[in-house]
Amino acid sequence: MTRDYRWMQLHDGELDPAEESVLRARALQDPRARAELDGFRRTSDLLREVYAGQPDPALTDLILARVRSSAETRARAGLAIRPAFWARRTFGTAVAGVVVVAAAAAAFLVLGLGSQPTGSESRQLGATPLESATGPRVIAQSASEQETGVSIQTVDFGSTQGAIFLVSEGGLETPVIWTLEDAKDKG
Amino acid sequence: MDLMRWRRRAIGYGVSGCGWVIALTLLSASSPLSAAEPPRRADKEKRAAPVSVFFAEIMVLHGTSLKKGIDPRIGSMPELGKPPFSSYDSYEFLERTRLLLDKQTPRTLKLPNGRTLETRLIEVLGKDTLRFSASINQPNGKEFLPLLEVKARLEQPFIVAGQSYKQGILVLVIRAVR
Repeated sequence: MTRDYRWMQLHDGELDPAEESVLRARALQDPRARAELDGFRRTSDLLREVYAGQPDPALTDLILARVRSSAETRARAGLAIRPAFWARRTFGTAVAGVVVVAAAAAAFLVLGLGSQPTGSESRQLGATPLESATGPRVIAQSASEQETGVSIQTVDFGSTQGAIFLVSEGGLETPVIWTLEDAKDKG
Repeated sequence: MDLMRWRRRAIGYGVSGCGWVIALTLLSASSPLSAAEPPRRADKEKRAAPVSVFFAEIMVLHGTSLKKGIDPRIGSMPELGKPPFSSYDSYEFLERTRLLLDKQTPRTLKLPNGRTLETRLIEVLGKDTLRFSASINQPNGKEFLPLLEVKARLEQPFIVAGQSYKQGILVLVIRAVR
């Protein structure tokens, strides 16, 4: 377990009291550790400010389930960095990660994309939004045009990340193309 | 009167009379005022078919967390109450514009964040279905959303959202209209 990961656990309150007091004492003497903790604190404050509204509780559970699933996959692949740590490593990545995962989880709640619809399961986006989020030209076919009236033929997110999903309301579905920005590109 | 001369004169008048009748008949046949004349195919072909003109209607909204609610100028948009749009509690109407959809000449709209939205008609697929493209570019040339192609029925919207703007996001509601 890396030292950075311990500071994150300290910020999240995941350590037992004995370990917490030891690390807090070390942080008082280590400027790098204090900077690390400040970074976690600023990221948490910013996320709290941006996402002040409470999402649907089911949305939160789905996001966490997806993150854990991704963590298990990465652990099996021998990767040492946990997804939670990855998501908070930098400010820009944290915001991008949360929004992309939130958008993907929203797609679990709403009807999603599927090239071969086979009932309700076809509505699950699965890994489609994240896998489609980066890279050049993506061909994405929305659900039946009968239901949306709009069919997305081609999407090229260029150098940015993004997600495609459907928002359903009253039997109608509206395709949404959600783009993410790097911190330096914000308008 | 010489009978033969009279007969010749009568025949002559008759022939000349017939000639007038024949001439008059020929003239009336060529007259455009003839009631029996059928419509010309060329005239029908010359009538131009009505040309449909299509537009991309773009409504620009600003989503924030300022607790101001939904601007009534937006109209009915239940999507704004669904995740992830519901993460923002306020949506302000900024503008509504129509860009002509043309195959040859793309039309642009300057967005509040300085980027440019460009639309172009690709193909008319039917009486009320189009295929058109939209892209968003930045003044510094870096690509943002280089290409988005949709096949859409008229009046059916799709949304491009997520661009940061003044501590919130821009939401573009786009639909093809006639």
